[in-house]
Amino acid sequence: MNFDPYDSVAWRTFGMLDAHEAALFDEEVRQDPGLRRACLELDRLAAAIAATTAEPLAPQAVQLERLQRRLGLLRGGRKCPLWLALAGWAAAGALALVCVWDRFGPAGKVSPPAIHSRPPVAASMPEDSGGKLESRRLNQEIEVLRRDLEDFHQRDRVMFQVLAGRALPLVMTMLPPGETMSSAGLRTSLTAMLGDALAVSNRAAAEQTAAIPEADADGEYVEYAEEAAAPAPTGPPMAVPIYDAARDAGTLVVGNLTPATEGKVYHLWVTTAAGTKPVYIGSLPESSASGADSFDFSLGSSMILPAGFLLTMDRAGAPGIPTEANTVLIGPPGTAR
Amino acid sequence: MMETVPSPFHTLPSGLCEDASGEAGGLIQGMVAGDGAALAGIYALWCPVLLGCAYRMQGDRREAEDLVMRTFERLWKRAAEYDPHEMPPFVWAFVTMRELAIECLHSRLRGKRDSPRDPVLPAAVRAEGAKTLAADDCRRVRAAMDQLDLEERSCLERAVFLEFARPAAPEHAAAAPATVKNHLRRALESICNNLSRHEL
Repeated sequence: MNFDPYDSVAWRTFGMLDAHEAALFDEEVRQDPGLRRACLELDRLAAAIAATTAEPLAPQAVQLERLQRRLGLLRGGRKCPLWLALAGWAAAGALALVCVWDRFGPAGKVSPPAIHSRPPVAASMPEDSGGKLESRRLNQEIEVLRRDLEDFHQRDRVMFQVLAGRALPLVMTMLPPGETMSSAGLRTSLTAMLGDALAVSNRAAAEQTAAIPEADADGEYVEYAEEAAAPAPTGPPMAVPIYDAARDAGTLVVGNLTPATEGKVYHLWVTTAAGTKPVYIGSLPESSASGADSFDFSLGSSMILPAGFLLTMDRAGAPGIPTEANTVLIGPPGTAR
Repeated sequence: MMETVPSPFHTLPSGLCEDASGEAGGLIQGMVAGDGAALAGIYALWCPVLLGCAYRMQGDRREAEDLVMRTFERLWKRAAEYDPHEMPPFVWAFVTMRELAIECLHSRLRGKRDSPRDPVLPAAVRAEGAKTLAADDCRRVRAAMDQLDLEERSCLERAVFLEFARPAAPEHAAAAPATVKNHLRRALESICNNLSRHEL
């Protein structure tokens, strides 16, 4: 094992020592001020290279709030999403108390109804004064609201519960504008397209691990083998976004997508039922987006139900609003722009 | 016993990544005092660059966000231990994040990237007025990197973003080939010389 301490400064900085070697090296650093200075200088250089090389990414707006909450710098938050439900129940409870009070009243002859019992059917109601009819009507309204709230919560529990090993993803097909599933004459099944995309990914991973050449006996380095050209896409282009709202994790599987023209890239957009404008998600890497491939994406927030997706082609770094001119694929098929 | 070669790092010019304006140092002092606004200020200052670096290290947006979150947590908790005479503020943050990334790699015992898929590149926004590096430092480093051989430059960038990092368990260790180390040695020597010439 090469344990030249000064040589190991770089290996330690770049995480290339295993745990045992790192422990030995750290002990050497503690005892050698010169070695420590060398480490600090290389840390400075590595930080400068990283800051210069890496493309800055805009963090999500909620990240700072989450950080502050984890450090105890913010109060509340976890119960905020329930405020609407709690406010509704509080209002219903107050209304029920008012009704009970009204029934008790000064006369006190009618026993108060059980709060959780079903209200009586209107046709069988005895003759009541206007106030009692009104209270019955309000009770029925409260009961309806309570059932709606329970249904709403149940829907969320079913749809957004995160279960280990399971997901409830949204799966959608994207086609060129104006095309439908039948008019596109699709021969490639979803399974085949996903299989093609997986094969491309596995091939890329294998090439990546074999990328670093070994020196031969003379110390010469073998040239990198040229990559085989990607097969030309056949059939109509299509894409299938698969999105899990509970985890905010999605995969875009593309098939038969022609490479973007020079200077342009493909951009992915999402539409929701509530929003009027498409929201920009990101761009596909310039080097790929051809043939069958897959890409990960996230919307930046969970519990969003996408109503549709759009794939446009525009200049890199300058995505324009989706229009008929720049939209390549749209999902669900047949959606008007 | 091998003859030791003097480290090239002693010839590295000083001044890279310095906090010339003192803004970051002041915010760290605020963090020591428990000021949440100081944390928000440091977050706004460094988060875009750290997130970009974390994304290069982890290859996954979610993991990168988690790494950056844990980095700022650790910075907050260790703000009192920061010594401005030892390293500049941004270097301290970067080193903290790198330590966490290496710990994460060691705990996950992985030798290659988990997901072979290329991610959809999220909308990248260059932070307005980001002050992680002075403009002059950026120019110096870029110029020095541009003068490197293509393979050496690629090797150096990949090393900075921990692509050659080794996991803890020996049975999962992926020993970096000697060629990678040779590339790195030459790249480091070249960039130190290039930076020194630029300084002169």
